[in-house]
Amino acid sequence: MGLSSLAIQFVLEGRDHCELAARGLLDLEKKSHDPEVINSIFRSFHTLKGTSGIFPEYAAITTLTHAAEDLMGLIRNGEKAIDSEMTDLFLAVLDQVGSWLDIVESTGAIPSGAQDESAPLITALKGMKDGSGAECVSKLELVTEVVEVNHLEPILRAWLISLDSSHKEFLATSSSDDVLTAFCYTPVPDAFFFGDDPISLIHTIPGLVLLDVVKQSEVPFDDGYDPFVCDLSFFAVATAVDEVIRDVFAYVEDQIVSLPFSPDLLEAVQTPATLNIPVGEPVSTLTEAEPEPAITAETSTKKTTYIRVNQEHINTLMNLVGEIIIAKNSLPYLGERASTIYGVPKLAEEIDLRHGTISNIVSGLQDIALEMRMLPASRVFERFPRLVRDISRKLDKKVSLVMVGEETLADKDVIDLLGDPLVHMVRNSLDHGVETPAERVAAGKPETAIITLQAFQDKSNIVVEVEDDGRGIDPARIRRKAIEKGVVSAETAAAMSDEEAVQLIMAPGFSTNDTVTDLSGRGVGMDVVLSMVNSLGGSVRAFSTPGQGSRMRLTLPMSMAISKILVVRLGECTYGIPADDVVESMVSVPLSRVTAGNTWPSLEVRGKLLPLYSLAAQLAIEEERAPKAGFSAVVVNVQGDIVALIVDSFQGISDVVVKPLASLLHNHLYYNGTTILGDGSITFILNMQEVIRNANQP
Amino acid sequence: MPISLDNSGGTAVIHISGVTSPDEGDKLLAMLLENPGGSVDLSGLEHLHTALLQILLTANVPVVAWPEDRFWMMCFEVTTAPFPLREIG
Repeated sequence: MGLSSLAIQFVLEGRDHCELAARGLLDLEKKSHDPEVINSIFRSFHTLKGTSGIFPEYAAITTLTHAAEDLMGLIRNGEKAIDSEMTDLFLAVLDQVGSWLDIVESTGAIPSGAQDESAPLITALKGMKDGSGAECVSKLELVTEVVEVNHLEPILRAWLISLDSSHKEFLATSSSDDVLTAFCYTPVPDAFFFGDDPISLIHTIPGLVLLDVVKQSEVPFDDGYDPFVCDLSFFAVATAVDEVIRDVFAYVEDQIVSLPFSPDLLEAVQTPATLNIPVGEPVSTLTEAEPEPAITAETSTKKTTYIRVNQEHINTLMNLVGEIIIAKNSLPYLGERASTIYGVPKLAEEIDLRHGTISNIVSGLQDIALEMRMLPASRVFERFPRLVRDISRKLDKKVSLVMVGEETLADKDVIDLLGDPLVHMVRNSLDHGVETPAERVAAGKPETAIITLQAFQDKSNIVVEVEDDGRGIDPARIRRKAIEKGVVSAETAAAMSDEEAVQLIMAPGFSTNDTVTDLSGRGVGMDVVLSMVNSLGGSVRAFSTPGQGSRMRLTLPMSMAISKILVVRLGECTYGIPADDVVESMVSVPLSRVTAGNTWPSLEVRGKLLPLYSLAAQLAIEEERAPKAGFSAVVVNVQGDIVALIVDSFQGISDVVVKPLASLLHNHLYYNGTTILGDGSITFILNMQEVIRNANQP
Repeated sequence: MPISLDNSGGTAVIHISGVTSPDEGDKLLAMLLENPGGSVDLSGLEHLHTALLQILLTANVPVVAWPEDRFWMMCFEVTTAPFPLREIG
């Protein structure tokens, strides 16, 4: 069932609010009673309740979030103090809402038994609300609220002063018979989306005697007009008393101000200010002669605006950019054919010229398309505070999570794919790395362990590290286990350095924990992480200092959509080497620069001797044989391993779209994918890390 | 249909009736932009969502007929004229 655009918007915004509230709850555990955070969580529950209320079929969400909002309201008012149990309960509510949102997105409806499903949560929320929880009055919070509301009061006063004489006379006369209350309600710009219909609240005010609906800005009425941004303020006077008015606006109390009316409010001390109302901004002085600048169309267009775009459209755009790159790459071949086959060199020149122009445009298009897909690492990091909290509580370990470099950008596919490996690595740290508080104290460490999640950019890669100050990885134990499990032979294990031995944790079938826990030992291990990352052209490396901690480093290309490759030829076939790995391309190399070695020959390059292999032999296309005079070689550097590889010839650098390998080949370690070159031929993209690793093995 | 367009009389008249929702915002906006100089007939209106009220106020469109509930007139008119105190309950 297709969702209406309003429902899609509800799901998207709903998820944002669930995340925001969950983050707030975790923040609250660190700085309890921070009124800003409490307000933010309250608003999220309020918004979830309000927006779900637009859709009668999602009543279960409305009921559940309403109950959560009620309890949060008590916390906000200082009538209840939030504790770990309440936090658990609120998080469970958010999990429930999140899972319903997923179902709504895929099926268009929430399960029929949703109300029953959430009944225990609602009962628990009501129980906590009605129970005699420890009372906590946060004076700071009350002060903050007053300050928040106060910025509207001068505006309301200015409005009363600005009324024309007939209104003033009318109000002055009326106030002698009735108690009047003046109020101003300025809904937030997103009010309609939150499910608020401000005018319906005004309509319910009893005894309304004067109403003035004011546009906050002079937006031109044309094709660019956005009718869904609430741009109105409501000024009114009613015979209802202040309490009644406040009751009507209970859920938007930060957006209204009211004053008991008296005729002296109608008298200006000085010239009143303009009625242009900056929403949420305190009005500093209303008596200044200079009016506040109005929010005009001109100023508002200067703001950067964002729109939500269906992910599928971005994917399609990226695919089309890929296709246009392939089409563009065909032009030089066409030019060559025009000259050599059809004998029209002039046409070849023109094609080259056009190729240059099209290249510039495509390059701009590619940059924008790639940038649109870039997301910050925070997208993947944001799940970890919750994960670390829940797991450490379950394991009775004390852990503090530090996150660094959340703003580091990478392609959305990379960010999405980082999630699972990182979860596995963090779980490993919590489960195997971090010791219990007692063990830590005995080892002379602070009770609370620190897990650091760090992202940074390295050339065209995003690097994410998970570091803990736990017990570290014991290379001797790893060697022993690896031999036991048949991962390596005793001889190989003995020949390995400690650093190499630590990498064995990523070998297939390796698991260091004797008992399988429900956390990291779920039948899959670091080998799955490694193969997943390798298949994306990335790498994983483990570092450890026994007793002090361990660090897992995950490196992935920042963008997988378009890659630069060096195309080399081996016999009749071409192969692509990721340009990032290439240090140097050498042609006509004299044999005098080759030195025979015990196991393999070396090539002298800029004063250094590098291992020299035949790429064709490494790929098992042909037998290893000695280089011929005047051979070509490419020097590659993969994570510090520098080697020279003999190739037949070079075909140049090309921007390509890498397609994943088809089913039969997808497990082939040497290939990351395939691509179509400008001449229409298909080329394998090499995974240089695997090629070099294999070559270096004796 | 809460919103319909009547072009039969020379000038366009947009009829808004019953209870409206924000979903009708795009439709009303398009009708007003396509028919500059048109007017609205609110005689059958029960509830005007704020999003639609905002569109009508921004378009500054003349109202040819008011609903029974005079509250809606207050939303449009009071900025320019005083409203009798006792007429609104």
